[in-house]
Amino acid sequence: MRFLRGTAILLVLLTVAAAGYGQQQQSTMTLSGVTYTKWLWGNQRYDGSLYNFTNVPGEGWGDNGQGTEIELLVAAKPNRFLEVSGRIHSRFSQNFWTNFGGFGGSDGSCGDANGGGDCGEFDSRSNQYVKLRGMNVRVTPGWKYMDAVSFGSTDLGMFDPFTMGKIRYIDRDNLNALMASGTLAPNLRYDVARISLPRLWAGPNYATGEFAADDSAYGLQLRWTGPLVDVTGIGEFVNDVEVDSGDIIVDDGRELTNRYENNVYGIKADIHPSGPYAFRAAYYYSESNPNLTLSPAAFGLNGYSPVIADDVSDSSWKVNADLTDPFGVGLSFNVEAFDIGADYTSILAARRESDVLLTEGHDATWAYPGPANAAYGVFGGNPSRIGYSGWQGNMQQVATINVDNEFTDFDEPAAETVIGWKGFTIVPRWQRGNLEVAGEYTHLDYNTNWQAWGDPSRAIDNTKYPAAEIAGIGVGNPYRSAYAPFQEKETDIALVRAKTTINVGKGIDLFGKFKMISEEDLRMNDARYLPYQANDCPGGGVACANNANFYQGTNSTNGLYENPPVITVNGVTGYKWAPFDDLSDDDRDLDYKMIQLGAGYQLTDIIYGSLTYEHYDVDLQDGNSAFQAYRLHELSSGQHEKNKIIALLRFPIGGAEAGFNYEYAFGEFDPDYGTGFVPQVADASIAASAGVPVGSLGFAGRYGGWNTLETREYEHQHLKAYFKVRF
Amino acid sequence: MLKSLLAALLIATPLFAGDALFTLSDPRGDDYGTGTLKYPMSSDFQQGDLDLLSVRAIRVDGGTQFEAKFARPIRQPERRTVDGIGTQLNDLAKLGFYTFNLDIYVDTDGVAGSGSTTTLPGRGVMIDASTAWEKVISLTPDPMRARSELKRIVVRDERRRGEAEGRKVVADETRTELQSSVDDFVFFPTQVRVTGNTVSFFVPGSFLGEPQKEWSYIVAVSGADVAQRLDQQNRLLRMGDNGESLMVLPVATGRPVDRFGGAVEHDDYMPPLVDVIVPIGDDQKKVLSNYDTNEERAAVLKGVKP
Repeated sequence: MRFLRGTAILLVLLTVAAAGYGQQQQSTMTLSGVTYTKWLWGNQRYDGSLYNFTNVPGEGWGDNGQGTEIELLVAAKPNRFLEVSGRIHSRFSQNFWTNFGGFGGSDGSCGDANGGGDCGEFDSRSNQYVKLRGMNVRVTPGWKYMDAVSFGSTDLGMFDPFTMGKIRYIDRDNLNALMASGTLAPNLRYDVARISLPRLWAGPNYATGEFAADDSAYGLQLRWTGPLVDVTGIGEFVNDVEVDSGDIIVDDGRELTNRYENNVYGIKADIHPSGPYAFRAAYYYSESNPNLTLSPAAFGLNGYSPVIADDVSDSSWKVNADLTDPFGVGLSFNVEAFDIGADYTSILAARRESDVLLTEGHDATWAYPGPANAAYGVFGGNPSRIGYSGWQGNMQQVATINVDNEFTDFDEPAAETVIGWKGFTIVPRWQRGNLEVAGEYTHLDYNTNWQAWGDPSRAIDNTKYPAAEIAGIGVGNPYRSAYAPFQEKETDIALVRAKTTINVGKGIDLFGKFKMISEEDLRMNDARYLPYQANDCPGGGVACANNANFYQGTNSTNGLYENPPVITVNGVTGYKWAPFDDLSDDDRDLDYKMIQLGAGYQLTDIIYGSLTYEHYDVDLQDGNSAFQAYRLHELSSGQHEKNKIIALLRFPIGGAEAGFNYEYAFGEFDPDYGTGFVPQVADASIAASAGVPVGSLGFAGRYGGWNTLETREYEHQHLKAYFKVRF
Repeated sequence: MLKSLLAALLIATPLFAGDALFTLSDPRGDDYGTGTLKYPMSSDFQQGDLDLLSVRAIRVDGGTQFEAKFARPIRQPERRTVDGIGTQLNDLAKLGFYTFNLDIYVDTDGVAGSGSTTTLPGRGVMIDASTAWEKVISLTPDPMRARSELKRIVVRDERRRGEAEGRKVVADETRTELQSSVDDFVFFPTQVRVTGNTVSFFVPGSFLGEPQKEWSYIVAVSGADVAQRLDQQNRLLRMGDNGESLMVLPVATGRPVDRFGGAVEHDDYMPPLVDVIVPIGDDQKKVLSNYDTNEERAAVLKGVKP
């Protein structure tokens, strides 16, 4: 009886659901969409916005608050050839529930880490504004050689992360383009696009100049698909123009001049014969030509720009082989060799949400130079934004220095640049029953291994390379930094991970990982680059002679590694910091171990939960007090112990979904900055600025930044809960 | 030492190997649905990804192990944000795949007219009454959500049906029975293993029983809408359509980025199925194209006996 009734019910109901396309009803308008509610809590006590992280000037970040977004979907078919779709979307930004509707004035504290939501009623960041998003018109003319023409928003999802990749900035489809696609011949497809260049970031200095409306990129992709081989060719042509200021006679209109050109060519082959073997190869070549009169002509030690300040060209390639269970014992292999050029530049390459290399890379809990993920944390007023725990999981790799982790929360993936990386990865994977064991070994060398930026004819603080936070500082690598003035680095990554399901109850998922990173960077490896002549600082309380050493012409590193003054602290006389007089003073030696253990369980029919523990044990020598992390960041030399406990819950309820992610990170950093200097004592002013106890020991660097010598203990908690409803 | 460890693991780990029950084969290169269906332009899809080559059933302890082989390696879900709240693709698709659904409709009694001739929401086809199903196995990237969704759909449609008959409230007893009926007749595998081109999944005997010689099967592959976003806009584009979609990427005209292309305008009955196993002698193109939008008649699939 039950069977008959149930079957009958399903018969009827699924008839409606499955074959009910034709059950048209008269309806004048349907509203559909999604609403997201987010609840953030954290003990950093920031409330600058409802995102955990941003670097964007004028935007806030925070780890506390509640807010709701709504996304209304709009779609229509005006006629048989046209389809129009778009969204009307509010934004979390600083629209907290506590804004009481976004009314009222501002006390001027809007933005950054605190004062979120207080921008006032007439500031869009906190007045619950909505924006038009994703507006796209698609024409399907039904022509032989053209499937569709579309104009409006796009995520460039049909192209390639090395050339024109997915570019998310809150939304995935902020780019606007005119696009066409179709078939030229059997199995030969094309995609062509004219993309309007985003003025927000798509050019030198993260801008496209004053005259931006005509800036564009053209892309062409040809893809031939065969039974065994696919071949794709891609071309990308970026043209950022400005009004020619030299054209003063405007009667005949005004001439244009280039601000930036970027041409990228790529070819990819995918060989997939039947059987256990598959092979892929990709080669890219880029030309990047900024107009140095209209964009930065050079950078200092830590310049910020997605474009090298010179005419450069370079290539990137990678080759993959996938061997799926070739011996019939459940053992498979993925192998990748790669070489990403130091000067490879594609301004529209994927900035995140792509993973161009097989390796896990670094862990996202170490995303910035300081031991607690602060940039320039050696100076007061530069707190860690994402916090001590960083992001969860490992980094994703993108082939650009234009990396974007903006407006993310701690539970989202973060990306790191792989510009300059070369090496290989081997991933064996063994499966048997419910057990999967996988490993990885990656060896990394770098095309960015050089001395004095690879060009000793220039001063050390005059380079074409935008180094951002400067590569290779801290436990991980600053995620958007590919370049450093001195580098001689090699990295080895090895890991093994396993997961299985134990058939107890509804099945307990068990997973774990052990990861090791060994990295050595000699940085300065040639004595000609030492800042001062030998024995310049004799020690014993005697002042340095300050006889500069010149590596070429009048170029010296003495401006970077300035000699210390002699000081006396508590009766001890010596140098304020160790003189940079030995090539080992800036050496980096990383011994990194991470272990992860976790379990997940389907707690009820709809609730899945997991609990994960991670332990990081890092022994890092990252230069000494002479190096001072290029005098810009906190020194991270010493012993790091970090622990994470992560609790996850996820429960889909028909048409809705709720989730919960709580992370408790705790640990300590025991600094070791070497010897050769007199430890100093933090007074009240230093204590307030550096966040250390009065009377604690440390040393003040060349720019006055304070590095404490005391063991630092960290405790960072944060939580993100959400509820998503489709309607 | 290493040998001892491997030996211990081999002993401790159950094998999927068992008695082969049957194999259903499907031609390579027929992942075009009705013949006009085109993959989305998104980099998540490539021709051949959803090209089913075979389905094999193996008797194992406690049930049946199915192995579906595709023409190309199965794409693994990356850790990638897929919505406005930061949900990760690999959290939604925890089983190791995210681009397809694979449905198996099983006619266990072989009695014409006995069982259901419908398909899961969004598939857009019907089943021939001669091989009406008694059990459905739906391999989908997010089985718990699919199951929850199906229960919601079933109850909502019952409410709509009731409204048409003047009943506005679905009684609790009916609701419970409806939701329970989903578990009785539809199984969403959760024990899944992806290896290269092959996905293996376990169906317990308590749901399916032991496959018999006279059983027939309909196997259909569709694209998966893991984030369940497209059914929203799809409904908008079909103004007034009450149809629901269970994790299926819809089909549209032209060649869009986020859904399958190749549909003819207003051809609402074109099924979004990419590859199906049809009886020997039948042509997939013809079978899937044998619908009539004007007459509101869906294409009809017929079961295959191994």
